[in-house]
Amino acid sequence: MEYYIIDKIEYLNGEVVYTQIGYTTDPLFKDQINEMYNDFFIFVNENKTGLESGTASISEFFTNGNYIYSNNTKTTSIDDMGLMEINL
Amino acid sequence: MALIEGNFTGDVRIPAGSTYTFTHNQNTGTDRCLVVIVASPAVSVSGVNYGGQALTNVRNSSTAYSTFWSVWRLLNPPTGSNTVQINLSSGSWNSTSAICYSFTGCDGVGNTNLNNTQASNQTTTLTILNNSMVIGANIGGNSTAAYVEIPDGTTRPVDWNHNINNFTWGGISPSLSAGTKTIQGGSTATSIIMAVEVREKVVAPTTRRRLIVV
Repeated sequence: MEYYIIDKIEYLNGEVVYTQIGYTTDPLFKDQINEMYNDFFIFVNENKTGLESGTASISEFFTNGNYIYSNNTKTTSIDDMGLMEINL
Repeated sequence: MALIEGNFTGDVRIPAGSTYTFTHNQNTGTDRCLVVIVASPAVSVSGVNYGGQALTNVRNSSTAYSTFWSVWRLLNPPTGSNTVQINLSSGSWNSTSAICYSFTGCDGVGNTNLNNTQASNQTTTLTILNNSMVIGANIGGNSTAAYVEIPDGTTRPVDWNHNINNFTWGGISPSLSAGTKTIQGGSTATSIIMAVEVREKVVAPTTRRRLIVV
């Protein structure tokens, strides 16, 4: 069985923070979640030079306390992780 | 004791800093081992921890894709779900791939080999001991129709397929017989390939003594 861990990504105290909030076993749902992450991925790639030099800030992506969800981790065991299943 | 492949975790993300974490579950059993492979564009990996314990660096290579490829292992890691911490030499805004394989009945990582020449359907060779498993991994320009064969001619499931602006993918064989193996992998683009041997723990037979009374 493959488990797709769902993260909440937000900008807190000057840092990008990934927090595990649950999991799904549905690859279609996982792909839907990653549509949000794709916007983050595009923003970072388009502003990478500025982010690396400090002339751009990732906070510009997280306006008004916005957050996104993503699936970054796939695993064969979620034992003892204390995560709840999240579905559509 | 037989080498047994346990849990697998694959993670790909933008670190947005010089360190990040995710969770992996190490199986219970004797002679446990955790193997971690990290593909990090532009920025090298300074260390990997699992459950607070530092992994030993087995291999650290810069590659033709401007990506650092490192292999790490931890003998007798803590069991259950624990935090994997990837530490980079500096902050990174590049998607970074980390994969974890857990084993029992394991004597750690043996030989490794990297073919760092970009080519279609690239190969590398690896000499292994009896019952070793082999991890085959590629970095390439795309991962369309990505495959890995260990040994060549025997396709293995692709356990991970990660977009790191280039792409990295790979899989693992079951236990193989001793000898020199050719590992092949590719996609519709050119790629490089690395092979990593995971060895079985061999227990020496017990010496029996006989008392002969004459």
